[in-house]
Amino acid sequence: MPANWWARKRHYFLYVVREFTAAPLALWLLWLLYDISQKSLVHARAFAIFSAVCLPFALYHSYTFLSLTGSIVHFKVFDRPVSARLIVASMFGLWFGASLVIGFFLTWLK
Amino acid sequence: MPDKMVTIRATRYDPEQDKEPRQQSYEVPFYDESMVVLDALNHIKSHIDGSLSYRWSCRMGICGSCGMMVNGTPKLTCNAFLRDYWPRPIVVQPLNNFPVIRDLVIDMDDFMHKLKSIKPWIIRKQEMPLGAGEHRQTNEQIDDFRQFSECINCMLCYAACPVYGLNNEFLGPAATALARRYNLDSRDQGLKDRLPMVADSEGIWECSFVGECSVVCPKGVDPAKAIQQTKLDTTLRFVLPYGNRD
Repeated sequence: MPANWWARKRHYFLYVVREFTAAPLALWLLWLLYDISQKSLVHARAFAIFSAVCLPFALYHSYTFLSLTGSIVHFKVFDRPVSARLIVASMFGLWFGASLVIGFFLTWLK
Repeated sequence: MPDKMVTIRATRYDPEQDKEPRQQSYEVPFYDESMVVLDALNHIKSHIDGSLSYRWSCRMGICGSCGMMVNGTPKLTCNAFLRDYWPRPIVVQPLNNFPVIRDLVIDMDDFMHKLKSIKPWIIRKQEMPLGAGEHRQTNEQIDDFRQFSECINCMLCYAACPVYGLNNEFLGPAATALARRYNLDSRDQGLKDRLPMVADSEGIWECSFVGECSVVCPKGVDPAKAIQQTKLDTTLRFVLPYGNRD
């Protein structure tokens, strides 16, 4: 395989981007854990900016992950297979609902 | 003389003479809108250069033997229409990720070995006598595996898979799809015979879901789906109570 295989096709490139979105999210989590261990936000402003940078990566990763659930999850209801489209829609619905609930609690706790 | 000509750039490689593969251009008459890349190769073979080597057989997308890289994408050349490429030149290369034997002919041994390893046939714990009749199935039971039974072993999915390209120990898309085809078959009882190959670290767990195998599949088999569903099923077998029973 040539070293630039991932640049040869749009599909390969998007796959590599999807995989690499884990890197900034891992850094974000490490930073958060460090701040928790220090019991304060050491660089609150910088962390807020970094969080904003990481948000598109998190959204893209979540979007691709949830979009693929239609291929992965398979089950039947009343002996009929549930359509992939319905599974994906349900996952996005759950994601949206969970985001609302978490957002509400974070705002409420503040 | 036809109005249109198409340029075919085919890979030439003779291991006894060439150090590495090279490209050779041929001008082929494009006289019919229904012409496919395989027709162009056959024209070269019959009228221009009889030494060009490539595999083909049925010409109708069933045998799976004419798979090649067409302008960088794995295609059945019997299903790649010249009209979709003309007037640009068409680059025809042997399938990616396989050793080349000669020109456009690849060495299929690795795939054949993997295919055999997943035991792609109905396995019964105890064979029923012929007199007992057929193994009957409902339409719903057939629908469970029908999609995966469409695989024609053309190996386009292996040529498209960067995971296999980087690590050819990976069992690969088609073999896993066929394993799933038999594991989902209500007549089959060979799941535990196939699991050691399929659920191995070089089996389904090597796949990182690039998904290109399903994009290039000419029969709509969706091997990526077969692999991900097998991951889910084997995980459930491991974590659920009694999940490991037959």
